[in-house]
Amino acid sequence: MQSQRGASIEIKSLRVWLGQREVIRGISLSIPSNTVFTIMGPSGSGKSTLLRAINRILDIYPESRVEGSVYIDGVDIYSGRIDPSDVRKMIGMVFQIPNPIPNMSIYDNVALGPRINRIVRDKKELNELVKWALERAYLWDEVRDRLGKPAGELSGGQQQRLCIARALAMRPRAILMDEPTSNLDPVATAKIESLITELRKILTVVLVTHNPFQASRVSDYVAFIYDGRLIETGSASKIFTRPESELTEKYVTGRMVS
Amino acid sequence: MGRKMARGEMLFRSFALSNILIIAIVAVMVILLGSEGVMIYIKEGVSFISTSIWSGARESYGILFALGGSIITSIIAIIIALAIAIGSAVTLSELAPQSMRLFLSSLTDLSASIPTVIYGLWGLYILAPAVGWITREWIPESVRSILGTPGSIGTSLLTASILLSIMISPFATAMIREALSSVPRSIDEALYSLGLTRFEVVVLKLRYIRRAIATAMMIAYGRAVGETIAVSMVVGNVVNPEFWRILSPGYTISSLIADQYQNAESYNYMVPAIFGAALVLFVIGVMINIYVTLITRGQRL
Amino acid sequence: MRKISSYIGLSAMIALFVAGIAPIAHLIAIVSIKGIQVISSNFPSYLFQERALPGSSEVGGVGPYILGTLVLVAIASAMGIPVSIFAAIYTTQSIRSRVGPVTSTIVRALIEFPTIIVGLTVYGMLRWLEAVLGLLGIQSPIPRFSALSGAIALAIVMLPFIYTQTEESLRGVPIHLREAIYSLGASRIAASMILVRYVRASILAGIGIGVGKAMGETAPLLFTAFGRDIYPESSPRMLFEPIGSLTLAIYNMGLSGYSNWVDSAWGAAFILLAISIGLFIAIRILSAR
Repeated sequence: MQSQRGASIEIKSLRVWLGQREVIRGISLSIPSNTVFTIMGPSGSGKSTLLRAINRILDIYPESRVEGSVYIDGVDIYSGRIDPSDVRKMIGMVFQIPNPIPNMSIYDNVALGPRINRIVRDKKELNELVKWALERAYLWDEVRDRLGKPAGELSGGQQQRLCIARALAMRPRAILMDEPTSNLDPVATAKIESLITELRKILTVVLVTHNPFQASRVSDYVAFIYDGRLIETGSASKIFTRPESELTEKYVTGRMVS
Repeated sequence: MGRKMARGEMLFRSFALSNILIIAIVAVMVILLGSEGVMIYIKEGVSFISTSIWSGARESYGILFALGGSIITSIIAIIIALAIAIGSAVTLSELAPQSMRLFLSSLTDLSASIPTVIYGLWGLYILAPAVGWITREWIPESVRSILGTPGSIGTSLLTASILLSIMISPFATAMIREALSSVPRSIDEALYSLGLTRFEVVVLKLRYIRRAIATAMMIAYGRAVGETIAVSMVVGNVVNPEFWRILSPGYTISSLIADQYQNAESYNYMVPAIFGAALVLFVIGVMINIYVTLITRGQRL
Repeated sequence: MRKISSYIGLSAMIALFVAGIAPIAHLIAIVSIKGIQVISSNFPSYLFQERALPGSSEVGGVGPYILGTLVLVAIASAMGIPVSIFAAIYTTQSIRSRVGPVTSTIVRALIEFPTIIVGLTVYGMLRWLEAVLGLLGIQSPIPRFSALSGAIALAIVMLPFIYTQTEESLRGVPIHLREAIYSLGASRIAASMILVRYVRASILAGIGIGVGKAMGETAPLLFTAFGRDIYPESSPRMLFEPIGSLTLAIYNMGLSGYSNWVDSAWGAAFILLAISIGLFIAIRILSAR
């Protein structure tokens, strides 16, 4: 399977309210295709909310309200004609706390997306897809002999890689990752960081983290969010060596309490 | 992306028809009750609820006897149920050993799912004769001249009250138990550390949750007023204008409606009269519900 | 001194508890004893025969009533279960619709309706239907006193219980599970199916509660099913004619003065009680999952 063109994402004047609180106060960003784009910032800055606006998973929270536009490959996904579930078929998501369906087998967890959305024609295709996804998630070798076992038996790091495989099985053009390693130990974290850098060959990765050091390790581009506003954005090398804003500098040198 | 407004989405939206059906049915029910129920008031005026008469032959209807019967039997029922529910809640939550707790509380829950007609049958052939016997042997003539005498098989308003209290106690017990378990541990510990006896602690906890108890009793009252079948089997179904004579048989609104179902269509105005009575019953229920909603909105239980 | 009054007070509490539970224990015991007596003396024909003549020395049977209960509950379930579940699914999975919360409020009110009023208003609605269709010269498809009418009344009675249980169990699914499913691009209908499967034990318990209620109710049937003491002819026509039920039979036979009918009432009561307790236990087991 050759590398695909990842999606390019353009956020224009996005404002998001959760209840009465304005959490995102007018952010505009460009995310180039096939890159690892990291949204970083201290806790409470709104980065998780920003991420959730990209695949419209915000829609399932009744208190949320969105203004502005998000363009995926030039199409505004917030325009009236678009069905949110179509957006999410194209953009996968991985959450901070791994959330496999616990009693379901490893195989069935990965196959969940393709099955619900009927994107494969037969069992053979599905088997290949599951294998491909697990390989990309650096999990295949560890579970190849126990695909039928319940997902709940895996360790935390393995469960998270399972969730990555599950998202990949949909062959998305982009994948959103909300602090995927903050609940994991350093070894598990390192594994996932290395697979992230590999993933950019086949899709666009948008990563959210509160750890500036992780951001510096994996990113091509970075956006620094503070209190719902975009403070600075640019290539990783620039932001980490010559940040323009004082806030950014405080953050990347680890002097901002998260 | 966005080409087909998926069939799945259409299917999901069609689920809303079920919601609309439910809302429509209840709306029609209420409108019907209102419009059919009001008709008898046009014929009889206020006397429909201020006089005591129920005669198909004379086409004359006044449900005061039943209204009084409903109110009195339910009041007595919740007084008795209050005692039983408090005792049961305290026993189950505070006194019973852990091992028995599940079994006993399950037994209490089970009793809430016994069909009411079986309560009625038991009431008619076990409770009523007992009430009749006790009245004849133990209640002096002087008292009976004020409170009345049960029917030959022991049917009376008091019998109905007792049966009602047995039926509504499980629900009241459950609500009071829930309230008791919501009392913060810290209060428990504080009271015991002051050296109070177990009983004194229990009494104070009950005082602490008195609003929840009052609400439970209000809801139980609503259920007692609405209970039909068990009551109609033991209340005697006799027009008793002196409904305060609780040892005599009588009617409640619900038992009146149930008792008349077979000859309702034989007379011109009986069906409207039945709807009129049902409207009164419904209004009482709504008033209780509004009252309870206001009380529980006002304070966090 | 205080210790003594504490002892007395707590004993009073226990006494009140016993006073409340003793009648129920007695009820279960006596219904079982008398009921088993009646059934075993006439087993198994009791389950199939029609009732004997009043005052005769025979007890006869409750066959038509068992059939009636089965027919009424089956049709009521066919109507009530899908409506409740679909409505609860729509309420929980639709995010910005107002139909959902309105439905929940109305259902909460419906639970407290005295069931006699449910039956009476169904009767009233069918009378209205007859009148309206009569103006157009059409006969109403649902006669006032019929099995269908009784089933409608029972469906309305069971609806709030199934709806509430389904709604609560769907809302109880942890948010991260819903996020996982929706983030894979599931449509609302696909996600609903997965979530329903996930909480199916709880939904089944709710159905059990609803069916139990429907089976044990008498008042809604008075003005609708009306009651019938002989077997209906075994054709779809029976749905359009009055029908009996175990509950109606217990009510009428229990109130009659005839001792053989009263005996039969105890038998029917035992059958009903046994099924109710069985359902109760089944629901408890399902809810434990």
